[in-house]
Amino acid sequence: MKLFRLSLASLLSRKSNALLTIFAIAISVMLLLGVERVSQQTRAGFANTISGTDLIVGARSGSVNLLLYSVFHIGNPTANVSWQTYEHFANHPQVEWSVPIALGDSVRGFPVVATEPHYFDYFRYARQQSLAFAEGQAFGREEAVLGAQVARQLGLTVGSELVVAHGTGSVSFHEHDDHPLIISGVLERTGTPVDQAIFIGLRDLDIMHGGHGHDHENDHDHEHHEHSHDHDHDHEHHEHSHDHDHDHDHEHHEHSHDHEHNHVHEAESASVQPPIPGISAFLVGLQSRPRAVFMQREINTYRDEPLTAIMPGSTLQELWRTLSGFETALSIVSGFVLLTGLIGMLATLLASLRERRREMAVLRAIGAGPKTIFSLLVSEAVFLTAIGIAVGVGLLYGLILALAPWIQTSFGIVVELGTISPEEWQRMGIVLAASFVISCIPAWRAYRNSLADGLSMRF
Amino acid sequence: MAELCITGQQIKFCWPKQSQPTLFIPALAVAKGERILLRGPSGSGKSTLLSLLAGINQPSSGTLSILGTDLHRLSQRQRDKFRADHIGYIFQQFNLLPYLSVYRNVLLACDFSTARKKKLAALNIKPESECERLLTHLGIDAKLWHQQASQLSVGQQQRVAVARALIGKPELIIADEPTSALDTDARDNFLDLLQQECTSAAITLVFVTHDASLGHHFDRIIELSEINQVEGKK
Repeated sequence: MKLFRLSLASLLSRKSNALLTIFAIAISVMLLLGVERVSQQTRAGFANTISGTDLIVGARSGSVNLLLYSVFHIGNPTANVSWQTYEHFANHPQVEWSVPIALGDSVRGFPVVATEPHYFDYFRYARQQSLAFAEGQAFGREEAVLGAQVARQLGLTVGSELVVAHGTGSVSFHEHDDHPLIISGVLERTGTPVDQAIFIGLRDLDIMHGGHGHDHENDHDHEHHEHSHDHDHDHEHHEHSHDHDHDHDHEHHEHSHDHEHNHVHEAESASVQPPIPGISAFLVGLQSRPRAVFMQREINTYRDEPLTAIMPGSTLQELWRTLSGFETALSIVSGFVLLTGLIGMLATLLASLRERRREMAVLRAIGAGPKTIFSLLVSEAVFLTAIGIAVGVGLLYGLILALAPWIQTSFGIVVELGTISPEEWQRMGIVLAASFVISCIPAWRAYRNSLADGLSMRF
Repeated sequence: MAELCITGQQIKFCWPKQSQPTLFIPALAVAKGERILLRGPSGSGKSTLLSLLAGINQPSSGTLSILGTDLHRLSQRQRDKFRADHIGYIFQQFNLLPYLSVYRNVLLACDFSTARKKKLAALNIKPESECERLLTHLGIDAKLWHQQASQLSVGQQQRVAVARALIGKPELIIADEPTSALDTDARDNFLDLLQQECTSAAITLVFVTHDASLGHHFDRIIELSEINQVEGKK
């Protein structure tokens, strides 16, 4: 204890050096822990982007590519899946539910996801959490739902008008001016790519792309005739439009999921006008989860159209593995930063030995043994490192607190404050042990000096 | 003759990596309570002899015993402890740890030696009060006590060093040219105080200097060049 007080007093007399050493170690510890933390949170964020979906099906392509465009809305599908194929699998006895999605448009850089309103019922993220509406509700005809981030960044709320552009760049060449959509709802923040997306109906997407008009529908069946009538009506009485659209959606929903009905009227269903001729992908929930592998094989070998089915969980892991090289590189860099910090401390300690020779001689004269001198230097280094680690952890938490909102808005990664994990304790332990080992070098020199110098003060 | 504090026979010392011994002293004897002036020009082996006496280094051959203890029979750790307990050492200058207060510098000697503390406890004196007594007696103003040692003048620092060497009444004080950085008045004042303290506590004093004019302060003068029989040295 006396030795510690002595060491502390000595250290305080060399404040500026000590502070610099602490700072260097703090920065390197912060980086070391921070890199690990960010990559862990990213990994968790990755795994949280989608859950509850057993299969994602798209046109034949690489599985990572399919995952990227269907879940992360990055890149474009190579080809479309025909509506007939979707219908075939939607009505498959193993399939509990399915949601079609069509991609390719954007609004000011935010991807547009054309889907059915029951997307909001079936899509799950994180631990089986479903999407919730911050305000409003699912879209109907000529309406759109916004992800939390989109609504915030574009400053749109329920009732605002939205013009969708073709293409996914933030600068678009062709805007569908003639077909503005009304915002019907805004989703709660999820920390997933859903926050960045705009959801519209498949039929609206098709109309924007100049697909089949309303006239076709009139010819087909009574139900649809009525709907198109309502649709015309909407333009005049906006306030009523919602109810009618809702009815339509509801019916459509039932229609596509009532297997029996579809089986009975298979011939008829082919003649029902699809909302859009082709979709980018569809999400599938199965009656029995363990059947996913068999279902995947069945889809992959489907003869009418080349398809790829992926299980999101395993493909997410595959995607993460491709990114882990980046993670390793970051870890290596932060390791070197730590090494630099420790070498800096070593240099400072060695440089201070020269000026401290006098101090050592005095301590020797009053009875301190060379071992005391040795432990004095080692304890100083370990003490400095311990403080450096503590400051580093403090800096890390401060930085997370300060930057978490920015990281979430920029990268969609939710960085949680959390407690210190066992791995982090382990890393800090390694840093402390390294400082102990490194400090033995100057301590050994001081030990040798104190033996060789005796009580003479050689400078 | 009175009891001996330092006895030595055939002391030979050779620094590592040197073929010639630095020191060869056939016989050395200092009585308890004696005040010795050890005189010799620089390079005559003064520092070497002192580090032998303090138990920092060991003679290459021969025996050296202090207070009846053969130093070469002790381990490194035991010699460090022996020094802490029985020897007060005063350097030429820079005796104090600059970052500690004057007060703590003096008490440091007790921190490293339980024997010194025990000796004071036996006399029913607390280390703090002994520290205060010594500092007062050596003319260090009470308002300087809690200042950092580095803020004192050289003369004051040397007197604080004396207080530290004396606290707990060690048997032997070794002073290595402690007055070389002082002017004449300060030097005489310093010597008087040192002598008084050593006499009153019956402490043996070995005072090293190259200055022959200080001889009248001491009981006996040992010319190192006379007792050191290394060839080639006068």
